[in-house]
Amino acid sequence: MATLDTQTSRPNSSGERVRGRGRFAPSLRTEEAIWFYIFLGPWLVAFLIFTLIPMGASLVLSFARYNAIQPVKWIGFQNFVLLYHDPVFWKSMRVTLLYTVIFVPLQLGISMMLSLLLNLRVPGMRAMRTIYYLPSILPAVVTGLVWVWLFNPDFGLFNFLLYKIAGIHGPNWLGSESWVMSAVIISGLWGMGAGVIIFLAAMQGISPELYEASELDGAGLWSQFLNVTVPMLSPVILYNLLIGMIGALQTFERIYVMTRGGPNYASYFYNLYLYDNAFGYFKLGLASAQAWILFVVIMLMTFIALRTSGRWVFYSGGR
Amino acid sequence: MQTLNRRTFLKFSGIVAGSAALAACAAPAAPAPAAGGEQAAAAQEQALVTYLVRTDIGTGMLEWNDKAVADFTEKRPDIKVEMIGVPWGDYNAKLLAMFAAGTPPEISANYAAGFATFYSNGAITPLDDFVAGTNTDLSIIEQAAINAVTRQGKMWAMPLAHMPVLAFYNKAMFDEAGLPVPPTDGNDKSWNLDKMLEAASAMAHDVEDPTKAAWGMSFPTGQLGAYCWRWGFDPFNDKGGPELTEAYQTGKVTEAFYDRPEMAEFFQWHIDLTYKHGVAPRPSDTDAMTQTVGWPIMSGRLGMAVDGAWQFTNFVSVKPEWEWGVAPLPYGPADLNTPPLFNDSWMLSAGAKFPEAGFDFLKYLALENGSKLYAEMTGFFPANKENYGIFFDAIQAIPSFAMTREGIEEVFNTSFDLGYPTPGKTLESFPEWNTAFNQTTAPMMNNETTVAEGLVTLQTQMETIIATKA
Repeated sequence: MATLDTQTSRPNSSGERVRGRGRFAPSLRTEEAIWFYIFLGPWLVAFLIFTLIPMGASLVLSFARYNAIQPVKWIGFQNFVLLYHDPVFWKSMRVTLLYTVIFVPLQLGISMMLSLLLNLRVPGMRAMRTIYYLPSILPAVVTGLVWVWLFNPDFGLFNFLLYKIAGIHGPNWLGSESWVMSAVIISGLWGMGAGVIIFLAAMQGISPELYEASELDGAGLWSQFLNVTVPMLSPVILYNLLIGMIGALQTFERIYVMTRGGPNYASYFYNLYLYDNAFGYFKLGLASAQAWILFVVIMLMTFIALRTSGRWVFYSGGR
Repeated sequence: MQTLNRRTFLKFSGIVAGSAALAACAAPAAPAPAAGGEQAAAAQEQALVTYLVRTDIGTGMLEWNDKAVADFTEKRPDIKVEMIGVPWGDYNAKLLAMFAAGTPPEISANYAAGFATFYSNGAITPLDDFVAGTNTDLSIIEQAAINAVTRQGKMWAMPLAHMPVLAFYNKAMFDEAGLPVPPTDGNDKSWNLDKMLEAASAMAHDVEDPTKAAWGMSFPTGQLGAYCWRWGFDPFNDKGGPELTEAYQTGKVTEAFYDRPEMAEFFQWHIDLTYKHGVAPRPSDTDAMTQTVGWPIMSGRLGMAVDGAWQFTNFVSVKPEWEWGVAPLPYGPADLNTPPLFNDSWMLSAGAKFPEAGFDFLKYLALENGSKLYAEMTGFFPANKENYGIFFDAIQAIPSFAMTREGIEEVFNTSFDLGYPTPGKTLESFPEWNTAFNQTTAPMMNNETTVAEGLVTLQTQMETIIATKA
């Protein structure tokens, strides 16, 4: 009968644990390293095949004219020059950055406020937490279709309520250059359940002693929020900021379903243009160049966020 | 006593998990040979034709694909046809992915990008050698449809459907308004835009109340504004109609003329239908109806809808209870009625592994029983002239279709005589032009900007693309 034995190694004179099976056996450290790579191997292989090699290929293709059908033709930096002179490229970049700058702080603020509410001890709170998280697990295509209906100027719920409650004829949310970005931001906020859950988990990890101590010092609720909750949440705020920023810069499916980038490119997000270039216009080289520009933008913004985080992120165990 | 320590247990688990992952990544094992040498040899000789099909194109089309493939493989056991279904939005992406992987489908259709785009990207193989090698008789295919897929004297695709743009109408709404239905003769100049607007005005009511509204007509601007042909000009030349546009012959757009006064008149007429005359649904109403019923006229609340003849697929699938019919396009201010002509052609991929088998399948679909089934089941008007009658019979079998056989035949015949191939099937990189057109005209069509401003934006965008391509 097989039993589990958890103690078959012993420490040597230098404190390193060695196996007691024969003198040619590898050291425990070597053996552990080997097993580390064996365990990690499948993931590393998949990462190499499905991420690293395609990334390398796209970098190479960004200097080429390529349509997946004819052979690759090297054109140097021509794709980047073409993008530099392309007004739609700059428009899509502006749209994406504007969305990111407005959406990410809103998402952070609202999800933090929601998690404060969901952290209260009231009956039915578990159900409420589930309800708030549900939109995050729905496919973007499905939610996009629902939002198209909600924003319909004639049949949609929003304009219906605006008219019934305030007698206002609502805007053409998705058909107006002035309103489409608001509609896109509102629809994006609906899926912030993941951020809420992370904030909630972090809040529940804050020691009650900190609140008790601050209460003894005479701090009110607002002061507690500013001086205890926010500093203790700051690592999670940084995490949600980075994830939210990367997600916002890569926005695609919802827009593809809701507006197709219109009207007049007013919601033509960067990734939508990239997709159109790659799969609509057969310009895979140009799309690769776009992908790398986006990669650099994301890296740059992440770098800036991380570099400045030292000034406002508080790690209770030190940096 | 045999012991299993934790480390050994974890090692064993790791090996098993790693092996499973590698096995999952590995290519599937070859099937075991069939019993008997002959059967094994036959299995090895079987050609595999991969066939990329659309899955969001109406039940008739889906059923036709299944039936045609089953029928073909029964007749040709030496060829196996594997259908790969993708929706319209993913069609190009899937096609390109298959090319990039070195496994292009033998057969695909010119749906999303248009034949000229596939041609200019080197994605397709000319069919002339296969036609000559198999003594294939193409005379039964409509010559205009063959011309539409001919470049440099070679035929680059096999036309299955050949369709004009028509004016579908809801006869029940005409009857209710006490109006006669439109004529069937495309040469009848009394059927013009004024007449159409008059009829639409009589049918439209309550357009401000979406719960009760009925609209008289929907009349889009056409591919890149091609419906301006009835105004006597074309967006891509400054001399006259589409026959004077070089780009429709070469596929390459080198100039655009969207900012001229005639174009402004054309757009203004279309916009006025909604915002001045109140007879056409707003774009948002159209979107809502499209989402619910697929095509706005199927809602039963639209008197007339100008659209391509492929919309018969909707009637084949839905079979509405209200009576309906179809008419030629009305004459425009220049006393012209030039309906854009569409063709749906099936293409043999460059680099296909089994081109001969692929061509045999194409032949079956376009010239043999596949074409008969196509005319009977799909609602698409066939390019195969021998099957026109089958199509008309199939449409007449829909109980609510309220036209005589002669009537519908006349609509098609005269529309073909007057028509011209649509930009979407003749211009290279059509999706790029189309995106620019749709994006920049949307504010005009939503009445958010003036026509003059909108056309300047459109012209600028078109010139930018032209400069990029130069």
